[in-house]
Amino acid sequence: MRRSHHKDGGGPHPPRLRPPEHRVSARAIAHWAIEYLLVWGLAFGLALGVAAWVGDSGWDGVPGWLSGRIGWLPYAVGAAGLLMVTVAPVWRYRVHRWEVSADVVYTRTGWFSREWLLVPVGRIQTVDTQQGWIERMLGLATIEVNTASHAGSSEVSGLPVGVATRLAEDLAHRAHDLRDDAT
Amino acid sequence: MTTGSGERGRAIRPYAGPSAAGDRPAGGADRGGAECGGAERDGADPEPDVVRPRKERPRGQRLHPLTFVVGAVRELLALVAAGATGLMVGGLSTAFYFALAGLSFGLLFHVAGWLTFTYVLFDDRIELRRALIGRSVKSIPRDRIRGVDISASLPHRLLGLAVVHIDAGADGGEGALNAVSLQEAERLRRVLLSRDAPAPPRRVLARMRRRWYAYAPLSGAYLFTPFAVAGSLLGTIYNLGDDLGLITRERVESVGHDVVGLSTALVVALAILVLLAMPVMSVFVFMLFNWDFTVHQRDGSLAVERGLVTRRSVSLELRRLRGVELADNPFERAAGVTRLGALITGLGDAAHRGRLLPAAPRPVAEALAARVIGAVPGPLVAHPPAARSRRVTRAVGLPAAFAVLAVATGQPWAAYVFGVLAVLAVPLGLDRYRQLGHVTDGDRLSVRSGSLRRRQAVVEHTAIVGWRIRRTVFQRRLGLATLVAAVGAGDGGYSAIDMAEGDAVALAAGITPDWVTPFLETPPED
Repeated sequence: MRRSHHKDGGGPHPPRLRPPEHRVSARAIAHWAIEYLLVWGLAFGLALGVAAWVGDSGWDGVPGWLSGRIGWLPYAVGAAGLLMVTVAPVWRYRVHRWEVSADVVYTRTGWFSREWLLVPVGRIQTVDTQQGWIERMLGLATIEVNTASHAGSSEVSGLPVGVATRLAEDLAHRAHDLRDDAT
Repeated sequence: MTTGSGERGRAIRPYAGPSAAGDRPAGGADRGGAECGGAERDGADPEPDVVRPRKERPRGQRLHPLTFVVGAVRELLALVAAGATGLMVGGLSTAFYFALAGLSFGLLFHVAGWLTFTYVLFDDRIELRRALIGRSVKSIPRDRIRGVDISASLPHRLLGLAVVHIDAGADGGEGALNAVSLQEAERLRRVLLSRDAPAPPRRVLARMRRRWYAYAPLSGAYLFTPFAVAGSLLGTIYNLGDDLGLITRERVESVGHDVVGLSTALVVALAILVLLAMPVMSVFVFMLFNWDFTVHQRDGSLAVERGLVTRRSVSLELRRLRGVELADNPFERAAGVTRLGALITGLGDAAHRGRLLPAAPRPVAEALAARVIGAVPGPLVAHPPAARSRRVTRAVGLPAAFAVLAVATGQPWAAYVFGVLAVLAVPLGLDRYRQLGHVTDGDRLSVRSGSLRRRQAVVEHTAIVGWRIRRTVFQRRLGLATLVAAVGAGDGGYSAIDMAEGDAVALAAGITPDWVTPFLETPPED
């Protein structure tokens, strides 16, 4: 990772987190793309409907400046959706990473804004794996690590099923051994 | 559990009945003696709990016999009112007999409820048994009990009764004993919480001073309560009048005409009167809820008592205390007043039950915080100047966007309003930046943010269950990051907003080196 421009970082080397070691499965790109496609497809349909309805009705309640331009709405939604479907999944794939070492679960998620999460295994309360229908088609799974705090609970999506299952079992075992959940 | 071993092999003596407890003065009477503060023996029970041989099974005991009176009072009142109305309107009609039947049925229900509900105190658990329709036994393990609250509404207090709420966190559930005598309530709390010798000393940690009730209008929360009360009262009167056919369209309209016909001076005078009444009323409401607000320490728990008509007592276990929160608004800041709350794991309704001081001078609040969790670390480290522009941008952004939208759509009035709001947001953003801060003293982390509602959380390092570092694209360009300490109490996470990126990682690494240092970048070769 590149260093960002640090003017007066307060020391010779302000500490920085390195990225977690593992990437998620590349099939996760397809998963996210399908999800975005469904959501934005629905939004596009709605926008088409609204534009047609407002354009036809000639209803007085709609201000003039709006009714003249309502035809643009589906195009705007469509363009935004296209951008989301093509750009966001790849961007997310590049950001999403995970690692379990030194008895800490370390993840990096997000795309536009990023989040790094560090949760020690000893503070984990439950570990869940789950699969939505798209994930089942693609052979992926999401692993959810819960602590006593929702702010300290993380989710790694886009893992291959085998990896997710093994990881969940392993984490649950070690969490049981090290348990100190501070509750 | 530290005291469990001493308790094995004895059962707690069941409550002998109202006669045994009745010869003591009511608990409320000797409460005034605590005024002097300091150590105080809690002498509610004259004799220590009798040690019983192991084999004997504790007997189930009923709630106080007067319980059904309180329970039935509301139904009684409603039914009496309905019966009287029925009698007035239709004489000895069917409606009257229906009301009478309902009344007796209600009474019977309450008596049956009292007869069939028992609770049993075992060495390791308390069982609440109900056998009215079907049979249910609720068993609460005693080492899961996180708090025992005692509350008493006005009818309860008149009869010397109290309701005991047993809180056992998420996994143990809750139980309520509605109601037992005040002495029994105190005894249950002592036995269930302290798990040790009777009558431990209790110390007064903090007590509300009379002068502090005048801080009520500052908080704003109580300013509008009188309106809510008046509104609901008016609504009730309207509905009642409507039901009885007293309110007709003509009358409503005539009232409307009268109001419109009032002279302007009178309306202005009324408005001023209401404005003057608001702070006064807020003080009354505040006193109603927080009268004689007292924080005691008893063994391993804090007992917080408050309330004028309904006296409420909340017990908070110190071993579940993870930190405290100091909150205030700009008015309170100007007056040097703050509110103190406890961050307790597994506490439901924490905003109300975790309250440690509703309004007190800051030094008092900090002194209490120091006694329950340790000195509040300080002074806070300010966040980098880049955070200032971000705070201001975020405060101004929304109203400015609306102003632009209003101009674009030709709505001059809305544009003016949003323009003014955008200008006002500048000092707000600046103050939000000024209030940002974080500090750690080696044991406790403190973070502060907010302006209109400024909150400073103090959290023990050992209570942190994880770290979350968040960076949006904008933060990244400014070299900023938000560090969230995940805590299993209170809000679940406390953020140090817009720290310098390196500082955020360094702070986390300094507090929990074991979890963070393995993931630090090795110093690059630049």
